[in-house]
Parts: sequence; C-alpha cells; structure tokens
Amino acid sequence: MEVFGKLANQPSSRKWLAYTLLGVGFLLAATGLRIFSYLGRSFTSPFSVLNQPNNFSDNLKMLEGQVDGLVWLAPLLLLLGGWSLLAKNSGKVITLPTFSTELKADLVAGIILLAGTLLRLLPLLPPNWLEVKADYDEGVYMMATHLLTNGYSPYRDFFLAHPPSAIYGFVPAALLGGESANLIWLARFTTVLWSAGIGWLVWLIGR
Amino acid sequence: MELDGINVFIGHQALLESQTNFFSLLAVYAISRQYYRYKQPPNDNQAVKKIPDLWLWVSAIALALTVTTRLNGVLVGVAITIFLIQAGYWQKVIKLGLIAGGAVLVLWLPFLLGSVLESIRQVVFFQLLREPDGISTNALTLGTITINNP
Repeated sequence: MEVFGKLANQPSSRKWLAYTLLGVGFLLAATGLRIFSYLGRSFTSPFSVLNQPNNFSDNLKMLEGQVDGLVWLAPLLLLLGGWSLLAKNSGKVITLPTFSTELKADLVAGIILLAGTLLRLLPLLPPNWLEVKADYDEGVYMMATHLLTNGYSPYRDFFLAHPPSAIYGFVPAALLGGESANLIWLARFTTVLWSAGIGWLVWLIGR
Repeated sequence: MELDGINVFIGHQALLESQTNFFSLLAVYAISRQYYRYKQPPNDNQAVKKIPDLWLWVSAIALALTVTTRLNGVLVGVAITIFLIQAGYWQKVIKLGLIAGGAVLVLWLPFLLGSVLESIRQVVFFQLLREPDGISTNALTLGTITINNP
C-alpha cells in the first residue's frame, strides 16, 4: 500500500518522466533478450511467398541487432524510472523544464532525427559492419564509380542505365576508398548522410 | 518513416533512393519557400531584392540533380509545375524549366559529347524495355564477399 501511496503523491510530470524511462528501458531490455524475435517466430512475412530466406523473425532480429549497442542503457533507464516513480517525494517537486511549443517540436524532431541517423549508422560500425546485406545494385554503382574515377566515361566506355548524377554522389567515397571493399563501406556512409538530410528536409517542409 | 525498418535498411545501403529523395525534397522545400516569398508584401530586404527568385533557382537545380540521378525524378518536376500553375505563377514555370534544363545539360554534358545516342539508348530505352528483375534467394553480406570468398 505504501507503494501506491508514493505513486499517488508524485507530481504528474515526474510520473510521465518515470513511465517514459521505464518504457524505453523495457523496450531496450526486450530487444537485448531477443523477445521480439521469439514472438515473431509464429508469424510469417508476406514476403516468404517469394521464397526469400528472410522472414518476419529475421527482420526483427536484424532490427534488434541495430540497437544492440544501446542495450547497456536498459538497466540504467529501468533503475532511474523505478526510482523516479517510487522514491519518496521530499517536497522538492521535480518538474520538467518548460519549453515553448516550437522548441518542444524542435526537440522531438531532433530526437527522432538523431535516433534515425543512429539506426542507420550503427550497423556500419564494428562489430556488425560486415553483416549488412549487399544489394546487387550497390555493386553496379560502385563499379561504375570506380571506372569513372579511373578515367573511363560512362555510356561510351561502359554501360550505365542511369543518368550521371547517380554516380557523382559516390565519387568522394571512391576517391577515399580506392579499389578495396572500403569503397562500398564509405559509400554507405554517404547514403546515411543523404538519409539524415531527408529527415531534416521533411521536418523543414512540415514546419 | 525515420525509424521505419525498411527505410532504415535502405537508408544505409549504397543505393540511389536516398540521394533521389533528398534532391526531390529539396526541390519541393525550395519551391514552397519561393511561394511564400511571392505571397509576402514587398519589403526592403536587400537579399530578396538582389535575387528575388533565389529559391526558384535552388528548386530548379535540385530538380536537375533529381532527374540526373533517376529519370523518374521528372515526376517531381511535373508536380512542381502543376503547383505553380494552379497558384497562378505559370510564367515562373518557364524560368524553372530553363534553369533546370540548363543544369541537366551541365551535369550531363561531359558524357554526352561523342555518345549522345548511346547515352539515350542506355538510360531511357534500356529502362523502358528491361524485363522484370529476378528474385535473389541468396543475399550476400559484405563479410561473405570479402572474407569467405577472397
């Protein structure tokens, strides 16, 4: 009963903070324990009719793998959330700082942008950076960029089914990566930059 | 969308979707900025006086970059054209078209010289006449390509 008494006495802003911390903590803990993968085993993706090896469960595993680096935050968030919910209210009301509506919107957009960029960036970093599936088209673009930076002209010297700006974007990666597999790895960072830009522009247009 | 699984997956592969989407959105954002500039009453802002159609230029160049990344970026141009016409700025469509056309030419020119017909054949007709892609059952990772199959 004491627990409920403590809960009832907490100011609402503190409760919301606690629920958020606990929610995110539970989600991270669940991904760390691969709970979603096990749940996903009983479902079959519509893509399985195409005889593709990846089903719903595999996709969940892949998504879980992307937040693996953040799993260590789970116990910290759960502890903070629990403390925030149950600790004795000493009279000092913990309130969230007050922001204007515009600033709140900017903060939420910024957090979503940061989370989206991290989700794209983390799989490209060790230890899982070699596990990102390679698309056939990536090879086409990398080879075209490699040839372009080695003095060959598209359409005249080699076949290219896209306009030239398709490979301009990968030229910096080709200049840095040379002939090794670094080229495709660096080019993926270029795509992460474009993706971050997309999020930023969507937010600007929405405003 | 920013946190959606398939978007995240495409968003870290070296493909053209992200680049095309970025330039498409930049074109749309710029034309919306230009529209609000037209709507505002005249003011003494020197920057606006100096280049009154600044965002139209940005939009046109972004449009050119979209089209020269993937040809279906033309659809963004059609959307912007329809928007400008319905908003009553049809003269600006001509300016937008001229700037975008010029930018496309500048971006494509180095490779057009000596292979005009060949580039049209490869970029336009190959895409129009190609058969549907097959379905890969064995998706490789960078690790399997570089380590297991040196």
